[in-house]
Amino acid sequence: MNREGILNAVLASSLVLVPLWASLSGEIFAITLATKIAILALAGVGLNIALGQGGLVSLGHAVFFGLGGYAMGVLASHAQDFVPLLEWPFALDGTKSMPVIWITAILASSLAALVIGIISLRTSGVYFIMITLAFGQMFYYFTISWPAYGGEDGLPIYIRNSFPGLNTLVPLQFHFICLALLFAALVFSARLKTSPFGLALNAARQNGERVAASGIRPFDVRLWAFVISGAITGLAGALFADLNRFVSPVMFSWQTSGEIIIFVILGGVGRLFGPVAGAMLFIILEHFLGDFSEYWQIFLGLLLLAVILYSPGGIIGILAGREKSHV
Amino acid sequence: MPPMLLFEQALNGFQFGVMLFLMAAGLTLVFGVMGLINLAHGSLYMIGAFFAAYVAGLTGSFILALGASLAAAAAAGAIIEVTVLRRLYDRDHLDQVLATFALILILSEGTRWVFGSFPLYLDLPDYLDGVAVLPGGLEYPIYRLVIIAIGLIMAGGLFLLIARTRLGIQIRAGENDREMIAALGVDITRLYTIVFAIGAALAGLAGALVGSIQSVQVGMGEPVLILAFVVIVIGGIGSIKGAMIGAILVGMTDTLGRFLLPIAMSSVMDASQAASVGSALASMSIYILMAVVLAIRPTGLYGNR
Amino acid sequence: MSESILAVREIMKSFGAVPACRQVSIDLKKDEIHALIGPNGAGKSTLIKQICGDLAPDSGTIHFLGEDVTDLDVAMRARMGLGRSFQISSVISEFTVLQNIVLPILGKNGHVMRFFRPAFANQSCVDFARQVANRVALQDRLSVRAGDLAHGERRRLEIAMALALRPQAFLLDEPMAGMGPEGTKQMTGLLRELRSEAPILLVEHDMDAVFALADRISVLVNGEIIASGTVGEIRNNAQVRLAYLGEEE
Repeated sequence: MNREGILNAVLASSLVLVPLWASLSGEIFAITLATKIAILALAGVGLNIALGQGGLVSLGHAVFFGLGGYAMGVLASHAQDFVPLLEWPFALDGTKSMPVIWITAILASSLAALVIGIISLRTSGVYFIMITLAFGQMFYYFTISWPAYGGEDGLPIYIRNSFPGLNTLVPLQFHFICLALLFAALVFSARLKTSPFGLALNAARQNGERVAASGIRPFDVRLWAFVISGAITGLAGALFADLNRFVSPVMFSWQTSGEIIIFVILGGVGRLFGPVAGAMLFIILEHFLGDFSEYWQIFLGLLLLAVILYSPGGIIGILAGREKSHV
Repeated sequence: MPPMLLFEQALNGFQFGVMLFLMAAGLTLVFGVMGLINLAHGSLYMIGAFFAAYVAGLTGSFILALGASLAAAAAAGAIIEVTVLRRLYDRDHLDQVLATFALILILSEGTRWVFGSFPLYLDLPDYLDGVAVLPGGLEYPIYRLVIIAIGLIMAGGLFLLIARTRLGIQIRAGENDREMIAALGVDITRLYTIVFAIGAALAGLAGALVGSIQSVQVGMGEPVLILAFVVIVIGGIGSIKGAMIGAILVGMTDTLGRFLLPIAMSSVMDASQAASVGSALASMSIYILMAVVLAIRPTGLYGNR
Repeated sequence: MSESILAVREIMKSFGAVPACRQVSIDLKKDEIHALIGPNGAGKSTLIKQICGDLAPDSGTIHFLGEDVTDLDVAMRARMGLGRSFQISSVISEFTVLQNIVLPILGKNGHVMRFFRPAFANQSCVDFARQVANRVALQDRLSVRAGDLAHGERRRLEIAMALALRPQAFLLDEPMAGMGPEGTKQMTGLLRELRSEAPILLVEHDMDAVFALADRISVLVNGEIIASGTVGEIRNNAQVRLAYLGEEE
């Protein structure tokens, strides 16, 4: 196994073992931190498909994260208030079932990614960054001014949603649900990279003209990547809402988009476990530096600046060296 | 709806547009000349506002406060350019976005650390704190008229600077061809710092002017920054003229949308629902405007590529 | 028009007030190498871009394999079998040679929207890619990053990517550009072999290569085809000598 493989194994097993240890020793808070890492890493894995493989600098992935969150919030709030979601044209109740919520989150965020992608991918470069940012703001302000689901104050969900056969109220069980989804997304992302689609996507990042001359529409490939990417980030949003039992417009804010990019970049853009390493570092910094100083984000900013200026490969780049070509 | 009210809202929209232009001008200039996308531009706006509030508190002079906002933002801009940004000109947009995002974190938290978390207030002097009666009998705050005047003067000055001065020629040359200005023997490094400082100063001034209407606090820059981005994307990145037109369009759309949409909605639904639907739509209106412009012209109204 | 693989008819294109193509018509027939020559700025690139679909003509039509492709995009035309090399080498530089060649095979087969099975698990696709690499003498460089290739090798890789489309026509934009005498000789030999695969529309500045290879030559000056004929006819055409060859000597 090469160094990156070892590093990935260490990262993966720490997300399994640390919570197990924490559970045995009663450090519930550590489990929550690990769960948060897993969920945010999942959001990053989603973004990494668009950003790392496709070179699409989306500053609007908060849209999908937020839609996932609100998919959970809306469904669960109707269920907890016993108010049907729809009475017409057919009756539809809310739900507290995680799988149903996840599917809804994935569908909603894919659909949004499809529409946003069709419009945004006509542009490129700075225009793409800006237009994705603008879509994020659109959703942000919409949720703030739309009073039905809590508006600016957000929407609390009192009891965590359920998963068949498990007790999601037990932190460790919820953690393993999230971790399983993260691992599934990592496997998918790794397979995607070597698949025909992944090859075309990575090629389109480097040279769209050549891809077109090879009989492949770069637009189509990028659009699909954007949709897949949005769907995964949307799933992460649903889990994040379940972790906090709360959704608010902050999930749609552009700082959220920025943070998801930070996970990917701190960890190492385009690297399979980059988002995992990045989210882990981010949460650990937030937790420990946050205890140490109210102004911890100064240090986060400095660290980020240092990584960008001096070590563009991120943590994985520092620890495992340059990526080797995947053939 | 009384026409006076509509006229007042239109003036408000215009004033908002002029402010947005001050923000957008620097952004678009920096992009046009250096190819840099600078998210930290909103921090310069915030720095301008804080220094204005600080100097106003110290001296009681509003004029000095505005001067301080220009100077502080220009200085902060120059420092940022020299220490960080000039390393990013050759990087891709992703690196630029992230590095300037990191700068936002540093500058916001740094400002919070120095000035504290509570909002500051920049009080208007008495001579600006009244209303003027406009032709047609509309009573309109003097201060807002002053903002419009200052903004238009700055815009005019900027156009003259670019059209008529030696520096302007260098800036235009830099937008067209970086190698050419180097060949002409212009000190590019210095030119870039100056361009950046000019953009920063305009942002700082905008921060101070708006800070007198609203409060001065950490995080005030980012919402305006994003609007300024919308402006330059609509106008075409790199185009000052596009920024001017985009700014007025966005200012008007936003202000009039907030005013008119709830009224329009109330003709089809009940009042409280209309208010919420209307305001929700209004808050999205400029983004819809931008999406429409980009769908028709993917490089904005005056974008060339 | 039945034997024309590629038929360009009366294409007009202008940028603002500047005309770049005025009523250009050009054919590519089966089994031929048709060279397009002309001084810099004559509109060759603009014409090539319209043929491959990068630019839409203001008026006129382009038929490929008997179908009107004027409104089809680059990818569609490529999939129909229009293999292309660019004026400035255009390959996927972080990919290996083999990956580069596999890409157009996937495009041609319409196998791009497959998300899970590795591209290289498709043995017939990889075998074909190796065969193509053999034909351009890159069989020993399969796992080298395209960005690390020498200039001549990168040129041949581009040809391989065109070949991998199982093309019905080649559109080669200055394949000899920047090559030394040895490379030019090798490329000339390669193009001669390719002719049996599909006809070639060749834009080239190297007159020796053009005269050695071409069956027909068309001369584009100021956006107009001023002459078209066999090598002998073009050599002896006074107008061409004046407008173009005279400047070269």
